[in-house]
Amino acid sequence: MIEVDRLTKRFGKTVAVEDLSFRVAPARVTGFLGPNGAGKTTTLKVMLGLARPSSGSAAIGGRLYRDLDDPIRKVGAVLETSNYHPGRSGRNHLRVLAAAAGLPRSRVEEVLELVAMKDSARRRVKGYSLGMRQRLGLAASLLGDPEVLVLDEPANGLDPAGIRWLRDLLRSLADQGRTVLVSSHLLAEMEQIADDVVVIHRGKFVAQASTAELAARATTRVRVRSPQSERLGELLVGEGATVEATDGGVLAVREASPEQVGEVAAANAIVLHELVSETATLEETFLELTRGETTS
Amino acid sequence: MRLVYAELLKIRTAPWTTLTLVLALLAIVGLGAAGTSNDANSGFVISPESDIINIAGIATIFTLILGILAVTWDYRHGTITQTFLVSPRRERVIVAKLVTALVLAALLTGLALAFALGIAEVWLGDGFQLTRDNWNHAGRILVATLLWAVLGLGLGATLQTQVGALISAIVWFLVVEFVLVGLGSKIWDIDQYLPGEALREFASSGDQGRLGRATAGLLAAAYAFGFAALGTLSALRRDVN
Repeated sequence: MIEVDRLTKRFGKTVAVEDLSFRVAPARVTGFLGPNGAGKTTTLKVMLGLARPSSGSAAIGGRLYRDLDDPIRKVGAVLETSNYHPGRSGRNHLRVLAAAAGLPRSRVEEVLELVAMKDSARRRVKGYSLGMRQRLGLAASLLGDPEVLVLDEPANGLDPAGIRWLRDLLRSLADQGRTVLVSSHLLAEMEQIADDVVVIHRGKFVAQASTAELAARATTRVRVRSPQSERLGELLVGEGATVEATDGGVLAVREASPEQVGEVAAANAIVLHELVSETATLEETFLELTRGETTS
Repeated sequence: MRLVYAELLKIRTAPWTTLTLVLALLAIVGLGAAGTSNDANSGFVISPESDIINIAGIATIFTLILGILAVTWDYRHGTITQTFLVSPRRERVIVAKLVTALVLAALLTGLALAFALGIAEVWLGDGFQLTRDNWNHAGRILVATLLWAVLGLGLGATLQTQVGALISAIVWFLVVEFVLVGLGSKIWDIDQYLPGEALREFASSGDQGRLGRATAGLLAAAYAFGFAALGTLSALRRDVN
C-alpha cells in the first residue's frame, strides 16, 4: 500500500506538486498518469526518499522510505533519472547493487533471466538500446523480490512486443499480491497495462479510477448529418437529448441512442446522410480531464 | 561493510579511471626518482633520501582527485539514484565512500613510496640509507595523502559535480593559493593558514615551517574534515536530480 498525503513540493517559486493525495492498492497495477512535467517523477522521488517534500508525505506500508529497514527488499524502483556507468556491464551493474543490499550473486542471475537479458548481460551498458536499459532497470528493481514496485515510465523505448512483455510481467507481479505503481504520460500505454489510474496535471490531483470506470466515463455520442439538421436538432432537444451543432449540417447528439435519432428522423421525414455512434477514446477522456483542470 | 564492498566493486568493474591515475602517478614518481638518483650518483645531491620521499608526495594531488571521483562518479553517471535507493541513509553511503577513498589512497601512496624508494635503492645501493627521520617523513606523506583524499571527498560531495569539483580544486591549489601566497606574506602572513601551505608544512622534511609541524597538520586535518562535514550535510539535504 502506498499513501500520498497532501504532498506539496516546491522548487523555489515553482510548485511542482500541490496538495496531492492518493492511495495505491496492493495486487493491482496502478498507472500514474499525467502529461510531461505534471509532477510525476517529483512525486515518485519524494516517495522514494530522493527528494524532501515541502509539506505532506508519501509513505509506503505506513513508513517513509528512509525509515524502511531493508528498502530494496520492500520496494523496487526505477526512476527516469536512474542511469548506468557506460563502461560497466549490465551484470556488473546488478552485482554492485546486490552487494550493497547484501543479496547473493545468484539473485543477479535470477533477475537477468526474469527480464530475458542473460545473453546481453556481459556487454557494456553503453552498447544497450533504450529498451535494454529499461529491462536492466526493471531487473534492478526486482533484485530484492520486493512487495512494492515503483516504476517511472518503464514502457518508454519499448517496442509493441516489449510493451506486451512488460504488461504480462507486471500483471503476474500484481497477481502475486504486489503493489505496482507505473508512471506514464501516455494513456494508451496504461490502457493496456493498468487496472487503476491516478491522473495528475500541473502537480494537482485530477482523477483516480479503475481503467474500466474511466472507459465507461468516456462519453458516447451520435454523429448525425442531415440537410435538415436545424429541424432535426429541435426535435431531438424536444426528446430530451443534448445537441451540439457543428459545421456542414453535422450534429453531435448526446443522451440519445442512434436508434432514437433514426426513429425521430423517420417519423418526421427528415433525410439523413450520416448516422454514426462515436465513443470518445480513453485518450480523449484523459485530455478532457486534464484540459478541465487547466481551464479551472 | 557491504556498502564499502559495493564501492570497491564499482571501481573493480569500471577500473580505467583509477588505473590511469595509478599509472600517471607511477610515471611521474618513477621519472622523478630516477632523475634524483642520477643526480645523487653524479654527486649533485648529497643526501637524496628526503628528496626521494618528497617525490612520492606528489601523490597528494592524486589522492585529492581520487577523493573527488569517489563521490562524484556516482553523481556524474546518475548511479547515485540507485545507490541512495539501496541505502536511503545517505550518511552511510558517504562513510562507505570515505573508507573506500582512504583504502585506495593508502594503496596509491604506498605504491608511490615503494616505487620511489625501490628505484633509489636499486640505483644507489649503499649510497641510499633511510634513517628514522626519513621513515617519519614518509609516514607524514602518507597521512597528508589520506587527508587530501578526505578533502577531495568533501569537496566532491559538496559540489556534486565532477567537473566542477575537479576544476575548483585545480583553480584553488594552482591559481588562488599561488596568488594568495604572494599576497599573504605581505598581509598578516595569511598564506601559512591556507590549506595547501598547511599541508606542505606538515609533510615537509625540513623544520623551517612557521606554524610548527603539529599545528600545520591539525590545520590541514581541520580543512579536510571540515569539507567532509560540509559534503555530508550537502549530500543529506539536497534532492537527487
